Amino acid sequence: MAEAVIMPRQGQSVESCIFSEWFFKVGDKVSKGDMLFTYETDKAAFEQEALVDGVLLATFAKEGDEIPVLETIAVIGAEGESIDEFAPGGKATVQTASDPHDEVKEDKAPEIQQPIAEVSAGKDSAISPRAKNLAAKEHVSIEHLKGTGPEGRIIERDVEAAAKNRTKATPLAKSIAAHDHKELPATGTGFGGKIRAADVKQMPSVTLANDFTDKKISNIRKIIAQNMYESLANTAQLTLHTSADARKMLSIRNAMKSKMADGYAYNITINDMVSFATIRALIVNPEINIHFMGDSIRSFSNVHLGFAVDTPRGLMVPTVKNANHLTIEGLSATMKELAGACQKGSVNPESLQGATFTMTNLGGFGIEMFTPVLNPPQAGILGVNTITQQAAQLEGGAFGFIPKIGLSLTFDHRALDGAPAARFLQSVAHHIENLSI
Amino acid sequence: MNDLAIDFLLYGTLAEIFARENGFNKGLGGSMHAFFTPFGVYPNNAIVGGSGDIAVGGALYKKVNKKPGIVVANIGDASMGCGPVWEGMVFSSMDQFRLLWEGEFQGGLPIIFNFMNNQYGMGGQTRGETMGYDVLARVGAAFAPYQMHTERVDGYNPLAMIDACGRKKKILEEKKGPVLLDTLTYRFSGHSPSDASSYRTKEEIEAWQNVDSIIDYGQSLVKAGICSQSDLDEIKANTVGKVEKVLKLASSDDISPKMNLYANPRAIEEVMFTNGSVDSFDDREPEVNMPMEENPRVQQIAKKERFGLKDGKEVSKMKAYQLRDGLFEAIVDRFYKDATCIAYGEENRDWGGAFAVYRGLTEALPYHRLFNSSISEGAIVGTAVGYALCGGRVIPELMYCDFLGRAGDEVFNQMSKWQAMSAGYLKMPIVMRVSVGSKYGAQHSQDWSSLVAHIPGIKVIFPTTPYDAKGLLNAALQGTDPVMVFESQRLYDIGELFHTAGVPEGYYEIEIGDPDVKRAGKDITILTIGSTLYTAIEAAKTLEEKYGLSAEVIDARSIVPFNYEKVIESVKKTGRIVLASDACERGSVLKEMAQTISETAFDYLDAPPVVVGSRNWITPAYELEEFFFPQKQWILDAIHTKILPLEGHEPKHDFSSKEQLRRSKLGV
Repeated sequence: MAEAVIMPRQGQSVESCIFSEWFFKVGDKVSKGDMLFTYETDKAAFEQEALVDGVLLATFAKEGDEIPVLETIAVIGAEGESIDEFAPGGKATVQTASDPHDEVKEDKAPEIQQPIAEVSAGKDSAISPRAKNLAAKEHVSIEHLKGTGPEGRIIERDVEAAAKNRTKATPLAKSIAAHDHKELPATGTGFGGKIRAADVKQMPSVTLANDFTDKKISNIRKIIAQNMYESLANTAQLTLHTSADARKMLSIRNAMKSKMADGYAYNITINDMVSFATIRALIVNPEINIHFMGDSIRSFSNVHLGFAVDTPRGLMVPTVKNANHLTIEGLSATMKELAGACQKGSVNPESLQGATFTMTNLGGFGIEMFTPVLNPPQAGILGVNTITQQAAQLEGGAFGFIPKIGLSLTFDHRALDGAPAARFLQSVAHHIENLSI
Repeated sequence: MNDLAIDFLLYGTLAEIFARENGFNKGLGGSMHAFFTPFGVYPNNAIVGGSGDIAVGGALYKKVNKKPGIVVANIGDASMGCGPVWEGMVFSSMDQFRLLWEGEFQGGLPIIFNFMNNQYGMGGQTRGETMGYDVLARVGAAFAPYQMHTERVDGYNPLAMIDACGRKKKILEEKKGPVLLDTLTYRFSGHSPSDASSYRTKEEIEAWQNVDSIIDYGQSLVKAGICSQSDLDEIKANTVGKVEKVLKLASSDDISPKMNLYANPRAIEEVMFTNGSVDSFDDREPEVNMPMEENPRVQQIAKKERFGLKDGKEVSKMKAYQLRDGLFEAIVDRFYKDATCIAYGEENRDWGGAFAVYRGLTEALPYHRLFNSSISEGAIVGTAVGYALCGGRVIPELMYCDFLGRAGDEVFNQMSKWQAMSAGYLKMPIVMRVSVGSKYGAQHSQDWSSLVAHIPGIKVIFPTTPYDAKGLLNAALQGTDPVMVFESQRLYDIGELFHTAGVPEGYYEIEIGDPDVKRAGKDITILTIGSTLYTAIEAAKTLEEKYGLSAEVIDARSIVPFNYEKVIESVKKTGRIVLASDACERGSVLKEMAQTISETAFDYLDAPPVVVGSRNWITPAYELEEFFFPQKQWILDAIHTKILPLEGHEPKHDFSSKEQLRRSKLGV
């Protein structure tokens, strides 16, 4: 059985030794007690005898190598025995003449960027910690204080003198000044010019006092607050974002504009087109056109599309019933009519109910992405964002910018999973990009 | 049972060598210092010859305290080149043991200096290279008329050793020690793992291996028909088996873990000092020559003024109870309480100490409790270490602080170490007195308290008033830790000027580590160590009268340990602090204190703490001392330049940062 020759450990602090010289070649017969090799530590040179009889089967060290102590540096055994298990790093390569291409890798420490020393402030600004604390406590400005300490350092007595020479202030005035991080005014309205609390409050820079009013909230605000809070508190809503190529919509919009110039009666907006595409997508992805009822899901065969309208009284969400039955002209006209009624406050309360899915559009404000809040028991609300120019590979293979409209879908994860929601959103994008009216 | 005992000793030793908590000293002694005092095995010293004088202290303990047995100092041949060994042998063979010590205490010390002469000291060959004694045994002739009963023995022959030791032991029992043995032997392995034996030939080692005493002696036993080879083989097998078994246990991290400093980060901190309070280390009645009240010094002190001020004026030196009286009262009290308590040094007996602290003690104490030593500062401290390790209280004295260098190893490596290196099992009740001189130039005027404070394991005090001297020395003498007492020669005759109730006649202790506010003030703090207290008081008076500043003066009194509370409290109040002492400024412990104050009271400081120390020079002649030691003017100048410009003050000395940096650049 072959035996390993190890680099001996010399002293507790020695981690590795420098190998010096073999007295035998690979293949030589060695006897126990023969001087086998020499090596060095930083303190001395040593000789090592062979500890077993046999043939020197392999060596893994050459002159100058730094070898960790206890590491195998050779194998002695019977001729022909395998040495695989002994080779360092599992490589069964017998040391041959050293490769001239062996490059010595220098372990270069990374250059450490020295922090640039800060230029010290002028002597004028030196202040002792004690003086600094006193100045803060007494609200003495140190900015123009002249130091009388060593090398012009501002010391305690300088602050004390400044505080003493300054106009007296009442404790309340000091306290208010400290709280508001204000300097005390030069003189006050109290006896002998003493600074009173009122003087501190009247200082021109004071803006905190009376800068607010309280007003009871309206009923509709209360309802909105309640609904929003409950929506967020009681559902598992999250939002997916994507964007759709808007070139088709924009070209339709341009075509519409010229048609309108020719007397066409409908002003088909981008929002109308997105709504139209969404309705189409809802028809093919009915799993989001639902009400989540807690222990059951109510699916709808038609789309009743709610849409958010900003009114002076607050947010209102009228519903276009059976929206999937409308042409784009019909849809556009109905939405405008409902929105107008909301604005005027004349909307029929029935029109504010029964939506199966809601649209909300902040694109007009340049919003690129947001997280719409669900209208339970609906399971989805689509936020429509502004159109931005985004880099894309064009049909010809070149890169350019194309207009894309942002879409933010909030859905209730209790009602459906991420994949179907994403599929629906993808479908919306598809319908936008391939809009036909 | 026998087996278990052997296992115990082997395991305790090997676990110690591997620095395991199960070791005899929790691994704090470590590989070079295994020892187990319950079996009489005292610390192995990793300093060559380090035990040469410590062992003499052990013999002194046995003699003074009438304990049975002898002391064997096993040291190497190369240690014959070391001062502590020579000093130890000189000390051990002083004539006074035979001629002056009285009654049952008369006679030589029971000690064998057994030089294990293996012929090498590290890589140096003693005979023929590094020493010139030719035969080590010849050295014995130098020390005593009877030549230390020196004998050279064949250390490879157990029977010869047994015979020699038996005869030497008898000599010691007859009180004719000390004895020197030159035991010839050899070491096969090197001095340490890094020893490649490059200084000797393989043939030489083999020649000695061929006469290996274990094999050789075994063969003689077989030849004489006392045992068979198989008996020997069995002994060997058993021994190897035992060592192997214990070695495995001792080196296993699971069975023998090292001290867990994560779990208890204070484990070593807790053994740095033993912090004991012991009236006496022996129950026997202390040997004294007379009742204390009959002592002439005691009677003289009784007539003195125990408070040094009368109607605002200082009492005359002759009438005042002086600082040396405070020291004396604490020491004489302990001599009458603790039978083990002894004191020695140069001029301690008859002369009464160079500065009259011990006047009256010669009358009070028999020779074995107070004696003059050879002028061997190393041995004075080294023997004290041995005496204390064996269980006695001892007051060694170095006449001048400057002689501390002569006892460097004893103070820095021995006295300070063995309590912690024994994991707190050993106590070191040494109260070591040194005087800080002045007037006598460069080698007799240095305050080296900072050097000692730097070494962990020694308590350091520097009392400056009679009241503090008595109270602090009482605390030191009641304790179980090594305490270095610095005494200023300028202050031995000073009366008590602060403690208005005077120095109490009875026993009291002042807590070591507690500084004292000697003068209350609110504008600036002056913290002093040593006699500079009085300079600071003068400076405080001038600050008050001339500059309207009220200075608070605090006397550190202790250096290690040091409780900062009073100082921090004062600095929070005043915002300014000057620190002053007679120690050379560079590396002064005052710098450490200044740094600690900066860190802990930074926000309260109106200026950086400023240290006023002696110049980084040699101490010049007395007539030039005012240029070297801190003066009142220096303190005022330092305050003016670095802390608080004083109106109308004209500094005479340059305390500017520029000058400070210039001096530092030159190293002066």
